[in-house]
Amino acid sequence: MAQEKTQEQEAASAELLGAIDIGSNSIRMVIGQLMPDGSIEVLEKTQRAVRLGQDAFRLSHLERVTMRAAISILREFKRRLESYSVRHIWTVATSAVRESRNADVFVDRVLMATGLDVNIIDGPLEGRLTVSALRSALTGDSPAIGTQTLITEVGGGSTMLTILENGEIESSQGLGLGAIRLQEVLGTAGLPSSQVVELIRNEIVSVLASVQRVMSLKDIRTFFAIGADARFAASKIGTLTANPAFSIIRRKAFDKLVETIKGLSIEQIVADYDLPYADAETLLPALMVYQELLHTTKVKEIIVSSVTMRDGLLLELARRSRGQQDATFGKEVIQSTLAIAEKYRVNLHHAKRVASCAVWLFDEMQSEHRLGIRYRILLEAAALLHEIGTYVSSRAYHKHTYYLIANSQIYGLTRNEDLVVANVARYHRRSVPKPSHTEYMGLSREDRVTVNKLASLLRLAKALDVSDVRDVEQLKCDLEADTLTIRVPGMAETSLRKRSLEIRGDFFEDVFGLKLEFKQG
Amino acid sequence: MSKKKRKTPSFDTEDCYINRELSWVAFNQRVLELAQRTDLPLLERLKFLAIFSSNLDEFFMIRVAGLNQQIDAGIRKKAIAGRTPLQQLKEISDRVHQLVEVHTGLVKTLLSELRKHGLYILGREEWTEKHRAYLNDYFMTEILPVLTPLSVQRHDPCPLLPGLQMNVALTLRADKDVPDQDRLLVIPVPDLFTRFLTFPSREGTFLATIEDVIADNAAAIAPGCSVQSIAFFRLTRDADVAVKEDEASDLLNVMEAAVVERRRRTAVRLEISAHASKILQQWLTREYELKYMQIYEIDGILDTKAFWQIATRSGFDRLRFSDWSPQVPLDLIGFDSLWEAIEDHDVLMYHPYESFEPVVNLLQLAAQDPSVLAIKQTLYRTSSDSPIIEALEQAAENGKEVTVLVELKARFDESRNVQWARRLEDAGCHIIYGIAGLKTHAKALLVIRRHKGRIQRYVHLATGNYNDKTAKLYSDLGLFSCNSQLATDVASFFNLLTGLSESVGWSTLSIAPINMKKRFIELIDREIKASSSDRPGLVMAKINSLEDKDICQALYRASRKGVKILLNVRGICCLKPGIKGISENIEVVSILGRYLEHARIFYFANGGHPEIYLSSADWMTRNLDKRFELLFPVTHSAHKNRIRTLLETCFSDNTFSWRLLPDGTYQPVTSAKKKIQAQQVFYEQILTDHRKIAGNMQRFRPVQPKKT
Repeated sequence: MAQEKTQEQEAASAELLGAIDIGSNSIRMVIGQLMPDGSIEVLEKTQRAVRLGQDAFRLSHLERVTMRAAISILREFKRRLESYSVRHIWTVATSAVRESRNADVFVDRVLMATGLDVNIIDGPLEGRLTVSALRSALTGDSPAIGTQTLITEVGGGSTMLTILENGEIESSQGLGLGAIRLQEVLGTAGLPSSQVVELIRNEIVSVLASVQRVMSLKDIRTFFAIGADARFAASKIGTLTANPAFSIIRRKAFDKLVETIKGLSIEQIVADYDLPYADAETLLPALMVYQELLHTTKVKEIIVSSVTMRDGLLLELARRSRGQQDATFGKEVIQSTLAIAEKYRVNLHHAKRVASCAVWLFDEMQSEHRLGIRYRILLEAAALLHEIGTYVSSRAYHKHTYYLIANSQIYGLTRNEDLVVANVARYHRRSVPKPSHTEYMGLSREDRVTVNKLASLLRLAKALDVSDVRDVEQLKCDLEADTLTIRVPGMAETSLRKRSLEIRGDFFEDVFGLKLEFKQG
Repeated sequence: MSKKKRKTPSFDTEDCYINRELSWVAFNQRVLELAQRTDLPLLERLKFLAIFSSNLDEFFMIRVAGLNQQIDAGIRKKAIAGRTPLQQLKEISDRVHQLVEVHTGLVKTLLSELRKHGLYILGREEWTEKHRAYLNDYFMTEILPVLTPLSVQRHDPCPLLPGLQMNVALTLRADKDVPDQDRLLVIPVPDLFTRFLTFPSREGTFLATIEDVIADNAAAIAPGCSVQSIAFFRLTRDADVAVKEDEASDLLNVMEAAVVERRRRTAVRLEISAHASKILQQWLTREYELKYMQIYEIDGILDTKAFWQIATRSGFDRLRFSDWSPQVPLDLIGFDSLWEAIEDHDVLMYHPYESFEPVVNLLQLAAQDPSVLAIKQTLYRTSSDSPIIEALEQAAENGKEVTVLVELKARFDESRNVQWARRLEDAGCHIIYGIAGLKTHAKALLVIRRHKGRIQRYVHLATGNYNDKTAKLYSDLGLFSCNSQLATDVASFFNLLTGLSESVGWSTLSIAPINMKKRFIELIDREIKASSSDRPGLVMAKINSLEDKDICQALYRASRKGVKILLNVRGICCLKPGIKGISENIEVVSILGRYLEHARIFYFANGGHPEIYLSSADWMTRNLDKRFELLFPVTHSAHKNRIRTLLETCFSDNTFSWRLLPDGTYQPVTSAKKKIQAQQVFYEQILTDHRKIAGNMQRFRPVQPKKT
């Protein structure tokens, strides 16, 4: 009886989630709890300034002092997380760390000092997280997403542009335009303010011109702005909508504000607007980026949302903690994967068949590999891309496959996940992972285990495809004691096929400790 | 003809404001007026005399000392209401001299009134032989051994007498000496004795002052000399810089060390018995660089702060206000568990009409509850034997994460605060001693608890301190809530104070010195916008002091635009109401009474969607710019209605209320109609509500089956 009650409580209990975002201007953390009804209650938000961007964009590496400052902040944040006993923690780093040569050193030192495992995420993932937070903040009484919608976030190191077409992500770009980067790259410190404004404007215009070749901003009808500087502008001149997560700034009012701020020194901004010095410094460059974008489109107003990428991190953590997947996530990853596959002229028909077989095996073997749903997508992506290396050469193509994937950005995946996909695809043939393989050994132990599991499934799927299975649905599989029996219709004919199964089955048997048998179905 | 545009007055001229110091003196005058009221019980009147004295002590130590310091630094800058520091000092001296004279007379009247009720404070000349024998014996055994008489030669460097201490001064003549060589002996009265000693007697209560006992034994102190004269005196000095930093930062200047030292020696006030010897007067004036206006001759008992001791001694209850015992807060009736009640709804409490116990209880519960993870609290002034400190200590010992923000610079409590802060630290609490230059005056408590598988946060925010003793004398509002946004903001506030985080943006709170002043001005300006001739805006505020110039100007702007402004300001008010074309729509009243009005409440009509806020801050520059303070909204409609009624009641009081006139003076509010006493209305309303709720509970009791 008592036990039942505990279970019931357990079922209804709220998971604690912690998201840390190591940006170019500051480190921010949000702690939330996932309520049984699926909503997230924010418990705490913290923020501390540390100028990683100043080092990264000027020196291309993080200085020791800066690292130490960041680590001491992260240590305190970790303590906060521990005081709540937060189980699901996601620590991400964006452009500043991403672009530092010694990013690995930083990531390792953070891990050693705090136990926090930093994921360096790329622009597209930042964009996806933000968009997912934005979507979840939209309710019936929010401003509507139009047919062509631009979502812009100007950060310290980069600007994220995402275009939604009828609510679906159409394209996404990370631009090297950030408020701190502009200052550091242009070396504006100490210059008279009119000159600074001119320099910044030129840089923005030239970067935006290059974007417009890939993204069309002319047809944008709705303009969402996200980020601390946009929120500041909204607090001054915006009007709140019925949904308090959004406010609206008229184009004219925005222009006027930017003009006013152009005439102020940093000290005056600090005094007039009660901003911390660090925020005051980045205000004008950030607002100018929004302004330039605004003028490239024809929209009359900016919709400022109070959501942040951290809200997206929490949502994603919430999904993971429940073993769920963002419904749109899988779709977006696979779409992006297919685009890469097409680029390298893969036989899509074959690739898709292997993929569906691999996914089928993944599902059947759930009790053995115990991997979350997210890995199903990684496996599917690896299967779709496993032969792209043939684009370079058919000789040792699996190695080409590896580096082509490792150097592509699959939309929505972390850098680490990209590498897992690349490794899984690489080991679909020939050698199994060995300690002498540096790319493989570069992964964490946990990721290496995952690569083994997924690669062995991919090998098996590949072998099954060779056996002329026309439809995955024809396959059946029984897991009994130590043996996995796969029933394949039309099997047992040629020895060649048998052998190929044996070879590949060998790796599978090692990884899962199961004997593999094939029978005619 | 060219159109003449009517210019908005700048509200910058001197005659738009009332001098801060004189406004304070007027406040203390109102306290004195309470002591004059024959309709009040005698011991309560005596208590007001004591309050008047202790108020003056602080005023001289901080504000008057600050003005003196300005003069020393050669500053002649005028305050917003005109007047150089010297002019202010002169006016203060004039007004206070008048008040002290009234006070002295009143002391005599009250003491003789008290005799009719069997309470006698006897002068030396009234002692019987029996009395004298008893006291002289007490003197020889208890007092004499700890006395340190200081012989003062005319040209000696004078001994550094501590401020606020009572001294007995004797003029002595050795038998063979010639008259013009009288010597002076100063005997500081040790602090360790109670001021009033009780004669053993069955006929009534007979008391004597300690200084009289010492004076009566002068011969024993100076054997071989004849005592020519006896007088009492008391010096007031500059308070510590630390205290003044907060209370008089507007007057402080960077001083050279030499000036500091000199300030330490000189005095800002001398209170001395009338008819004291010339030698004594000359010596004190010379040694302590006293000016004529700083000397207060008193024909009677000095330092009547000690009357508090008589007013609160046991017995004589018929000479006091009837007892108003604190009631269970209305919002908590019917709930067995405090946790559950707060989870169920916001709990508004009006202390001391409603008990402060629940706040202490929450801490005690939290200390013992195994599911509580953390407690965070600000502590400004509290007592060392406080159950709050004890609960926090317990909590830390039980392994909870306890963070306490201690403000050491809370008035004159510094040394006391250090004591209990150490104790907490020893118990394992994480103690933070505030942020340099900014005093933490906010009152906030956050309890984090894992309950039903989730994190539940319990917030308490208040207008008054976490002090169970003052919570029985100060009227304050407090709010318990589990509101998530509020809790997140409070957590962020603690993170800000502990240095874990920068300001992250606030969804419900406004914080001084970050954005509170701006928020107030926005709210006032919004009221101007929402105001129309057929539906004028309304701002009501209940505060202790109004001194900030920016706020005054915003209120003047609003008044000019037709917004009605009702201010209930207990103490200092620099805003001048009723000036034509500037503040005709502003009304200011002040309520004093049984309880010290201490709540800070702000009401904005907001075009039919009224908003109410509570705060730890007054409308003073020091609160808004130099302290950490919180402003929080009251959101439940029942609470809003209750507070609105509370405010309206304050403005209808016609027994303990004064109206501020355009000339800066205060006039008692009277009415031929029904007498209304706000504090009494509050208490009776709570009793009525209690009865109503009890009645309802009875009515809905399940019907018992009839016995057959």
